[in-house]
Amino acid sequence: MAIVKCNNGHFYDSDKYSQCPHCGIIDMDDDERTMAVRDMPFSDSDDDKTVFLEQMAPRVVKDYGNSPMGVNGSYMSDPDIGDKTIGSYEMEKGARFMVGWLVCITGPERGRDYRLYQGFNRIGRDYGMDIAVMEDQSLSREAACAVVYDDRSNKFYAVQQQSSTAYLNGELLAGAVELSSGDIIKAGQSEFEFIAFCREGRIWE
Amino acid sequence: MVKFSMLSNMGSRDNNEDNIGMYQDGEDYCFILADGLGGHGKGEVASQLAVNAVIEQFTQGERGEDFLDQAFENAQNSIVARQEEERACMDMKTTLVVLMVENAQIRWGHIGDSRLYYFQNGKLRVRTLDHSVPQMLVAVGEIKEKDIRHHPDRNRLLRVLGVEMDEMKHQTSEPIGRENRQAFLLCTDGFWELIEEKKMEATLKKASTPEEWLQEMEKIVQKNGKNTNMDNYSAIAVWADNH
Repeated sequence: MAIVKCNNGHFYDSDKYSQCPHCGIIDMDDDERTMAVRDMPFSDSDDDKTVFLEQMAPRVVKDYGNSPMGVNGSYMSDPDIGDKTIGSYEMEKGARFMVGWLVCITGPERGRDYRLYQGFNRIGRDYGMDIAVMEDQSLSREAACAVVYDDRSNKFYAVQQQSSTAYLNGELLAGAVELSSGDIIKAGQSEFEFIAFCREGRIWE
Repeated sequence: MVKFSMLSNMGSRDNNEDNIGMYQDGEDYCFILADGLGGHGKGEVASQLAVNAVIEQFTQGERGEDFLDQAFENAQNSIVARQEEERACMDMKTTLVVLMVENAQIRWGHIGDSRLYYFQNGKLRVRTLDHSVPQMLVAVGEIKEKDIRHHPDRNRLLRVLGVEMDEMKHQTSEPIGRENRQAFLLCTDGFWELIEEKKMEATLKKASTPEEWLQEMEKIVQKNGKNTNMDNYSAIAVWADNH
């Protein structure tokens, strides 16, 4: 059995058929070749609109085709979530460049890491958050605080969010404060250590 | 009697990261559709690997009760293996829909936001639920089904192949029996976002072949997507009668 694929997406056994049994003679192309599974052509396009949400908590219900999701309460719409302004990197390259990490060192999600990307990274309990810490019930659902990376200055900031309290290195976070690796952000019951990837000498062009 | 028609179009994009495939072995048919995602062109690799893995499973493996589970797992393993070879972990992911039409039954499986629609006697009966943020919002009653197409988070997926997973996260259907006038539509989001279910039914009613059905639907997709940055779109139409 030698499985071949024709240009129209039909696979067939070339030991049995000399040409694709599903294509009319009119549609036949000379360009048929055995498709080795490992042998793929590549493409240069970076255009990727669909994204996979990595921050989803592992306890998603397996078959929500039949039963409603067990999500706490109702989803409150945050205008910022729905209407994400695309940062400069995404516009040009269509891919998200990661710029640093938060690592949870205290709290229900202790041991977990979260990636930071260029622009705003909002921390909150809601699944729609950039940094979704769904297990921490004392954390506010929407942005408790945010970590912002500014590519122009190559700097990170912890930014206070409206009506939320968060702490940076033990002090109440107010306004925007520059971050360095090793700084500890506390929100709800959780503490996160900030680690920068982008730094002096390491910047995405 | 099984008839089918397939299409895959790159829309306004530079390349097509959708992949489709089918295989017939006597009375058994397998239809596959995958929408690759990931930057740097790796989406195309992922969707191609997925389609090939299912074909391989179909042509060489057992077609027992857990065929679909094995096919999805095979596809996942195939993508992960390639990621390791190329260290392209972030960028090689894909949705997948598989439809099996066999002598005595029909069954399907899916992961991601590519869909399978099942029509019986011209009426829509079943639609796979997307593994996406808006679909979840519908499940908790926050938005309506009809809002999915325009939802700003519609491209945020919760389950796809190519990401690390401890256990497989696809969904499979219960098998259904063969009857007359069964119609299936497998399609990627580039297609279903641009045509409503009512129109799928209306065109199904008027069409005398699956080719005609797809052509009429494609006209609507093209019309609705005119002057936009159209995504790749792919669709497979399968008509089955009870012999």
